[in-house]
Amino acid sequence: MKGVLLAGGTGSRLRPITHTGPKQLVPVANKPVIQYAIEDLREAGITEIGVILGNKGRDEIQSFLGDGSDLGVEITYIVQGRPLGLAHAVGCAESFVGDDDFVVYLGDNMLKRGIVDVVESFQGGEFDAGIALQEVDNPTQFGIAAVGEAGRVTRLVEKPDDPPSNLALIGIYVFTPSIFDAIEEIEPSWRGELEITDAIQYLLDDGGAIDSQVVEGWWKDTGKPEDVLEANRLVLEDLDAKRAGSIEDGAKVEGRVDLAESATIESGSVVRGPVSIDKNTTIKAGTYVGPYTAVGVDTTIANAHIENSVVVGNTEITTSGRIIDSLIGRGAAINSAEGRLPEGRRLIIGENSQLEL
Amino acid sequence: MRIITLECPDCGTVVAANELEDNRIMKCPGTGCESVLRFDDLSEDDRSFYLDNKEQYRL
Ligand SMILES: [Zn+2]
Repeated sequence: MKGVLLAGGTGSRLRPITHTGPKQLVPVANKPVIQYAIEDLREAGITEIGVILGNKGRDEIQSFLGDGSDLGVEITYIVQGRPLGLAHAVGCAESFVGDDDFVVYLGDNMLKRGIVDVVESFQGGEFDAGIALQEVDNPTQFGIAAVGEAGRVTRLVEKPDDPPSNLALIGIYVFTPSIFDAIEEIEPSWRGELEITDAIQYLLDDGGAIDSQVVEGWWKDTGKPEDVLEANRLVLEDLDAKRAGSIEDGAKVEGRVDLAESATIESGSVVRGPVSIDKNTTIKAGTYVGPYTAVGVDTTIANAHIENSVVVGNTEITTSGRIIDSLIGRGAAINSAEGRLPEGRRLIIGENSQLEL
Repeated sequence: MRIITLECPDCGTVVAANELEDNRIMKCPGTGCESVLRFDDLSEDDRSFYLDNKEQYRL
């Protein structure tokens, strides 16, 4: 079985963070989102992975993933170019996939429990496709599956007014090469995109058997800042923490704190886990780093109070203010205005930034 | 919808027709691959189908 990992999309809902890099590289607990998908595929025994690239962020994704060997997989790149829809992206993978079955994984999705259950369920029968589902509270906002006996899918509906169930399609699919014939038969939707749900519905209408698996544990689409913070919180909750860095006498460190080898927590600071602190980062005196915070590489924090936040990296924070529920992009600086006159906040803010002061 | 792609003969990297048409000639985007890929490397059938149906490939 092969894997097809979607790494396109504009990341518009994550601006300004995505002005400088693709959404799939936004870190969650100091690891790019796309790395979780690669690890899930590998855990399911899938090491031949086609990575679909769109128009944006290609160089960054390729320089992070390389040929895949650092992550224990073998990567082939598939350039989709224009965003012509998920079914078009999958269709572009036909020569890579060949005669194999394959998993399609949306590269900005995260699952607590991985994809092993989904793959095993599909392999447990003679199916033309398998989809992963999760119960949602607001089914009118999702693609919804009607499911019959033993998880057999009977119908798919996109954002239904009258939902047949509360089981939403999440970004994980298992296909056989028969999906390519279905993709060839369908036409772009009203929004000009070739829709994967239309291709799966075509398989169903053609008498195909579609398996479904309701995934246990959380699932997150990390498309928006609040979703990144939520995913960060969920991953840190299960953090396997190693305090490899240096903790000075006089620093107060409580709970699960993952500290990279070259990171330092200086005397006079308080760090309360779960927290992840990456390489070459220093937490200086007077700082409080509270639960559910991930601080990226090459960062200095002094005097600040920060919690439930993601600091991407290469950042200096010296304000004495409280920073909560924040996503701070690479290279940002948040310094103190104390003693400067006239009194006030001095801001240099990129396009599409959001501040609550 | 017909999906038209070109596979790099040296490294297996796949490039969709819209990307090839935008560039006409491009260095293969595969990691470390030096091959050159061209829209004209597509089969004549693929090229004429793409050009006849260009609108649906140019969202
Ligand atoms: Zn190549």
